[in-house]
Amino acid sequence: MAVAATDTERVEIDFSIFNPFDPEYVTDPFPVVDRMLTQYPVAFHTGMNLWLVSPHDLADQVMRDARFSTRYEDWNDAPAPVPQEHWTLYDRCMAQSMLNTQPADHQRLRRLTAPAFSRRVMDQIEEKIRDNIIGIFDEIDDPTLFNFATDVAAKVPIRAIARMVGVPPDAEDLFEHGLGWNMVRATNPMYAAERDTLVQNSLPGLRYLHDTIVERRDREDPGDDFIGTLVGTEIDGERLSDMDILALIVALVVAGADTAIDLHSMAIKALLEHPDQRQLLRDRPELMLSAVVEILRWSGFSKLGGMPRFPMEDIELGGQVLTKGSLVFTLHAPSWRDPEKWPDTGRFDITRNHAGHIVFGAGPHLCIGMHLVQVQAKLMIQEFERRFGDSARIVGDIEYDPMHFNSRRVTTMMIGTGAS
Amino acid sequence: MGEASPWRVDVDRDRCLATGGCVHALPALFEIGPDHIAHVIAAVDGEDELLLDIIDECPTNALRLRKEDDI
Repeated sequence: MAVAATDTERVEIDFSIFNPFDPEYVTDPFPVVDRMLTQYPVAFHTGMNLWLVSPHDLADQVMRDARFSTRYEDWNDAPAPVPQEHWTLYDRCMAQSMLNTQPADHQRLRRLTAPAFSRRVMDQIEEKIRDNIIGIFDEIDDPTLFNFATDVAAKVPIRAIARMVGVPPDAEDLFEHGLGWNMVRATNPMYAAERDTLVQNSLPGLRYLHDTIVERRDREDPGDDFIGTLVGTEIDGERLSDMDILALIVALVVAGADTAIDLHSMAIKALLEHPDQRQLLRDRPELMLSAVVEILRWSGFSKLGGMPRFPMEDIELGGQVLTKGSLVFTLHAPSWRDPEKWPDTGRFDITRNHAGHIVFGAGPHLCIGMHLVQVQAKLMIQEFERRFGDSARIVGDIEYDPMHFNSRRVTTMMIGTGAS
Repeated sequence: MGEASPWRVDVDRDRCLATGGCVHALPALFEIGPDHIAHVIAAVDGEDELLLDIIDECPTNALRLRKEDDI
């Protein structure tokens, strides 16, 4: 018998059903993933006070549907806004962020930033990052036995973003630690209690970046690199302000510095565990982009790393009513592994037809860094293959940090090689 | 009698992720339908430079311009 959604009981779960911080979950999330898909496709988690949406089709719908806001002020439990007269650079920057702006402003920003993500600029960036990735491999103390997670994976994304932005070597530490990791956490609802400290710690890095942008705008020719293109782009008489550009760079850091780390660990894990697919990728390098999508899809490494959404009205989804102002997460691991969308879902197959995939999201907030992350993964895999080839193997068990909020963070993945 | 345009913009349903850049730039030509896919809702001018830019900039490369020979 059909029951109106408003009359149905809210499906509630707690940490006994879904606990992304459980050591068992991080080691093997797939039993939980299956249970979420089959028994709790849309459920309210009473322990985390948020909705979780698991199936591919419903997650896809949430991300495309304009009735789901990404702005914190549309969240009932949002921290009280800081009065404007007390705004720091952090608050000014976040007000301009693509994650927080109204839909029309967001589209304006997206349009004005498109040239900076063009093929031309991306090719330029690929060249800059290539040296950087080779350098990371050069830094490995003992290439015959090393921890890939800390020696390579953890370093690639933030340094790639630093290179893309054009941060000089002497400011890399400020960018990586002063700004990067503080901002990643300050913008995550899981770290709400520490937010003030994190924000304070991010300010010197933000000031440095702001000064860099201002200095570039003062030049006669802002240049044709990433920041130069952002400073120079004019469409229909409109330009990006310094704060727009700062907010964009921060959005790249917040969304890309942490999430992409485990892409690299999972790429090496997937390829070393599937020698046939690894050989196929060597024989057919044109499969690289498809391989990156498949690594993300297959590995199910993401926990709560997506953008939070806030319903702007009561919205019915999968027989549940997601109430206005609640917090909603689409769960990546289940939606990327949903057997309704992906036949034989546990098979790692780089030749899969990935049409309709949502590994970079969907809707207006589709990952702006998706080309950058594909370039990173390609360069990392190429360099790993060039250096170590068939001699590389995983030594011992892979260890994870269960408490990491974003992903099944690999802390130890020892790689043994025949490198001399 | 209005002249039918020979130009068409095809939206690849498998690629379109409803990022909506086309709708923002050309609201008279595109809309996101109830199926959460971009749709062309007016006659296409294949020489409109803004349209050509928008097709180039589509982040999922879901838009294709073509000219029908016999119309």
